[in-house]
Amino acid sequence: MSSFFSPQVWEIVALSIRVSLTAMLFTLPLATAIAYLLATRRFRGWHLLNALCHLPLVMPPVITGYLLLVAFGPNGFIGSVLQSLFGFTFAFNWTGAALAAGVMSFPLVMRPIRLAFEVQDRQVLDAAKTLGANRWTGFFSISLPLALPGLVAGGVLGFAKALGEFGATITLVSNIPGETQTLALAVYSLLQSPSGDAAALTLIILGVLISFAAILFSEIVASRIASKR
Amino acid sequence: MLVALPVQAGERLLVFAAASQKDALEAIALRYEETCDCKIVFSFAATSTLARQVEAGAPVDIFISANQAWIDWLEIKGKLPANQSVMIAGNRLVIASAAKTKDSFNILMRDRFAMADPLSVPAGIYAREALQTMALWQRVKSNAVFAENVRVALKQIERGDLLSGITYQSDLIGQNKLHAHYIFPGDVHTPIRYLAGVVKQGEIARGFVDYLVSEKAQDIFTEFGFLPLSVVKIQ
Repeated sequence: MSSFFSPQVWEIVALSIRVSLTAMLFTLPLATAIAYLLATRRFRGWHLLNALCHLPLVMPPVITGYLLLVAFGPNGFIGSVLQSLFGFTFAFNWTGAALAAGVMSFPLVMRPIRLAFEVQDRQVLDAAKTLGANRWTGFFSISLPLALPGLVAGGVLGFAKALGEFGATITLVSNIPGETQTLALAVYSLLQSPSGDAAALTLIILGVLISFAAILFSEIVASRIASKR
Repeated sequence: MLVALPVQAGERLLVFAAASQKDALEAIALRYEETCDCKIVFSFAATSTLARQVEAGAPVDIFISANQAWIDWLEIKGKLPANQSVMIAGNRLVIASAAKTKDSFNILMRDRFAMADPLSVPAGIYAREALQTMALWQRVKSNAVFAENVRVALKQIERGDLLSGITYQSDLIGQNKLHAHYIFPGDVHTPIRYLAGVVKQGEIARGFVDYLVSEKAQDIFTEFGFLPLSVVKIQ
């Protein structure tokens, strides 16, 4: 276990990456849509929606996890409907870990994207409209490409956050090796035993490396995109 | 082998268990797996977290609790059959320290010491209860440094940040720097008991709970610093 190349270590790392990538796959489009809405429209309930999106950032993770358990657990009001309609459940499997990670990282993904939309020059869009572009063309060929650095920054930040998520995950899906035991949960388990320090150190180093690589990658991509303009 | 890997074996048994029993339970499970065509997978977390997950419908076979209260709670919720859970081991509170001089609990008055948070963490609740019974709490509480769990407290003493701290006896197993400076008598706080309940009835699940109270398993609990049932029942 203390070796970087042992199958146990790679099982944990692979699961963590799968959980984080899946979380981003669903969080990114949703965060982009809501970020665009918040950046370009003012409507009744704007502040409410904005606050709701930021809630996971400021609420104790254990509360987020508990609320998700109440809602998405096998007996939960959403969980039971999903189970009976689609035979699908988030409960105590890796998709639940992805759900917890996705919800927890949502504010971090959404914020940079919202900022990227907010700083855009509205006149470019107006010009496109005079040239016959409808709302969708305007979004996909102008707004979205211009917001790309925000999307990359948000996505990678969210990925790194998802990778390190602990409180909501252990509360929602427990700590089952091979199923829901991500890197952070494995470190917690290892620190429960006096003999686990060395193995925990391996995972801690890997966690730091992956997070560092993710942030580095996003910064480089963001600055490349910016310098192309 | 520090992390149990799910391997292709007969029936898979999912056990939710108190994190403090990790090493002992994994050792016992390894022995049990030799006798059955089964694979035991543990999810270790705080007892309270796990109990709420059982209540929410977790697909778990066995629940091992670090106290009676959460077993009772699950019985009320109808998730565990009434009065079927069995005691599997006990534990003791100790003052852990690297100090050479043996001055029993007086060490708590000499310097700052670590203990788990007495508001929320079981180890902290037991510790405060013990100190109150011994009429020491008022005198030493200003020296107490609260940790979010007992392992954090242990790390603080191990690193030498603090001279001593109150932990479970089982936390000292595998420690070469620290020793039990003082062992609290069993009657100054609520008895520390671990209980196992079968959530999903099945032959293998019941078999494993029976195994937990067998002589072989009890020897392993003793080896890992827990009180075996033979001692618990005399107290």
